[in-house]
Amino acid sequence: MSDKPAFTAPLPVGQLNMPDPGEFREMFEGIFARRRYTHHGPLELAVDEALAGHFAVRHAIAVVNGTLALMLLLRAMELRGEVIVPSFTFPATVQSLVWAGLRPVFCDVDPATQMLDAKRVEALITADTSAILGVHIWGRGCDPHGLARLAKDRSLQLLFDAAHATSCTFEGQRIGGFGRAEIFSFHATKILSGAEGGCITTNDDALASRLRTLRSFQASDEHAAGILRMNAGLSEAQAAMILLGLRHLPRFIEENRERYELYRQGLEGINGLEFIDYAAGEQSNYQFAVVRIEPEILGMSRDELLEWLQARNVLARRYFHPGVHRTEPFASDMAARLSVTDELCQVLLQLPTGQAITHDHVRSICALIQSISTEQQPTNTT
Amino acid sequence: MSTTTSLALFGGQPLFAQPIANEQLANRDPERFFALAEDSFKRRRLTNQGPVVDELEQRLCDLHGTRHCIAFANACFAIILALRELARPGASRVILPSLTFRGLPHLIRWAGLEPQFCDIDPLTHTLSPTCLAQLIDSNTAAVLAVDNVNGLCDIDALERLTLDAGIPLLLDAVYGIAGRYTTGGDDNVGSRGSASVFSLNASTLINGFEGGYLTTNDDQLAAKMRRQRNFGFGQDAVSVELGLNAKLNDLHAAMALSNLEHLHAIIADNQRRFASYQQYFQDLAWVSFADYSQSPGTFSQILLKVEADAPYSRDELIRILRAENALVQPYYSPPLHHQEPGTRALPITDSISRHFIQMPAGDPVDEMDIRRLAQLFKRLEQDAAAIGERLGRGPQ
Repeated sequence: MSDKPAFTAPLPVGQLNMPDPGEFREMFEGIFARRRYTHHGPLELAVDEALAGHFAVRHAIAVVNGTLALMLLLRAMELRGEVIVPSFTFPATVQSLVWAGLRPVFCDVDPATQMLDAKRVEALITADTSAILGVHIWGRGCDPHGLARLAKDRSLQLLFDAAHATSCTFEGQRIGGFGRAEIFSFHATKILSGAEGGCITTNDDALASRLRTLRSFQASDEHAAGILRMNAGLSEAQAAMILLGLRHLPRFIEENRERYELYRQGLEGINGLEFIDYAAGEQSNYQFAVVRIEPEILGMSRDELLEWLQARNVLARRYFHPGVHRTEPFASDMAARLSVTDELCQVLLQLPTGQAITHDHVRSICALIQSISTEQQPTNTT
Repeated sequence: MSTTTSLALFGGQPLFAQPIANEQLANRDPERFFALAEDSFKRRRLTNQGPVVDELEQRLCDLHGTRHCIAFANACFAIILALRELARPGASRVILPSLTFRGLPHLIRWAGLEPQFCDIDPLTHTLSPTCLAQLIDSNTAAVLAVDNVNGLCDIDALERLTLDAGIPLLLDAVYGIAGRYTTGGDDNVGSRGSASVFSLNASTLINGFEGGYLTTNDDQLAAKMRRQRNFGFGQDAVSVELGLNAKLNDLHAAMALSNLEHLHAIIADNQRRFASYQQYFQDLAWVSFADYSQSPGTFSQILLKVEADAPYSRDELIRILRAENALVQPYYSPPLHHQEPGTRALPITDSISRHFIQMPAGDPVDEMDIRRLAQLFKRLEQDAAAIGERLGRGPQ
């Protein structure tokens, strides 16, 4: 094999869906004419309403990014003590707990779904546990019914990090309405982008009202002492981007689905490499292409494959790596033993997806991986 | 028609068909914004420290003459992270003025610390060094001083006090931007203390929709702030310390860059606006303007003082003006310490907080608006007795 880049331009992981320039200009000229740039402008209100509709909930509260959505939600729920959380997640899931004055208790995940389940969580509940924070990895529902039953039985709060899960369903029900509340991310790498952005969804009227107070320092009816507020609303620019994204969301999903299917077919039959078919049987946004490597069978480790692909301008990513329990500020003072998480962090790889990746790119990436697997596997070397 | 019946408060047509407020709302070069945005789309790079944010940070370093400028999604995140990082270990209190932005005590608490309010200088409304000296003790974690639109901090005195006590000095300097500290030197605002924080909110001098930045000459603090605004990521996106998502996105940075080029023109327009206020209001003996003799010269806020012998109270005037669609605000009133039980009295803060109105200002306000406001004040003066009666308090 040649060591030259297979592609002239790097192929990134992440949706990176850009707006139509004409629609962008029209939307922003509207903002400029109104001279309303931030602080609960008309577009922020329109986003709240549109997202509540999209996620099929009574309330969506849009904020500056997904991390702040979670930080504000945890504060608004007035939790205390410990929260059970996976380590196989983006670091912000767990860091948000610290910002809300809470202690994370790391729970290992099911190797098949890469997520928490009620059985694993139950074993970690103590008198100090106040909540369970599930994460819908790849947009697949994180045992929402099992965790809801457990939370009810043990009088715990339940919330979800749904940063991956815009437009996804669990058993046909739109993600957004599970637990007491869920949070979403509209980072540029997600299917719905505000450049940065996020929101909280809930059917709890009182919680929604409290969150609307917390997200800004604007005058409000709620002045209860001790409520920590933040400048965390959505600017009109971010709101405009999200509204433009919502217009084209069905198309983005369809284009993702086509890439997802091409990957699935193109990577079939490679010994030691499994395409994670997280979308099976549900509505999904198909925004990730994830493979699991079995190094002994493939003949190379995940990191070796990653390096090999990156040298060819295929900017695949380790995601997540390492588990959050092995990062600061958690690694120094905790001794969580999470064997499944540790293994997943060594064997999963994300391949390029999103608007910049054409069908030909996907076919070529699959062919590249097929070729290296053929080279590496002992049975093919004679 | 008499003034009484023509006032909007009593059912007349508002003086201003469109509301005017006290926000800068500058948008001096939309085409430059669109061009920068288009470049970002071509690069498919809208956040995570894109080139537009890099350029903005470099331009702001040049403006402030500092080694580092770190952009944030807004100024609040910069204050939280800087306080948390700078706070003296083992101490919990942050000393700040009470006559300031209502968010500051919240930000101090997000940083895991507690606010302690300090009285102010009657001229500049900034932290009084005398009062500060009385408050600093072993439980002081940091001092959060604020530069005001009408007066910069006594930076030499504040630095001396905090350095002697080994306490960090963080400046909320949004109203000092483009100004210079002239006592004992000639330093740009942003270049003194441990660090300074500025806003890029649309209401401030540089409109970036929303945003903020921190300036410092402290290499270590700068490195920490760069990591902490991005989940504490070190090499290879692995967190090496606690952080959050406090990143400025490239569209906001593009807006800020497009306006930053015109900063001096924005300031010149503000200066002309202030001169118009002085000219048109000069015959009104019962109002005056704050002393701006030690101001940074940006006049992004117009502080009007209602004298003790005025025919109206400050709050009555605010009611009248707001009904006319002049969306004026009381100047930091009530002050923050009124919401904190157990805080001792701050006599100068209390006095200042009772007398000032933030008048309409910023790009949407033109000379004619200011003239009409002055004419309204003159009518209010002439018909004071009748209007006072309609206000339900009888003639004064």
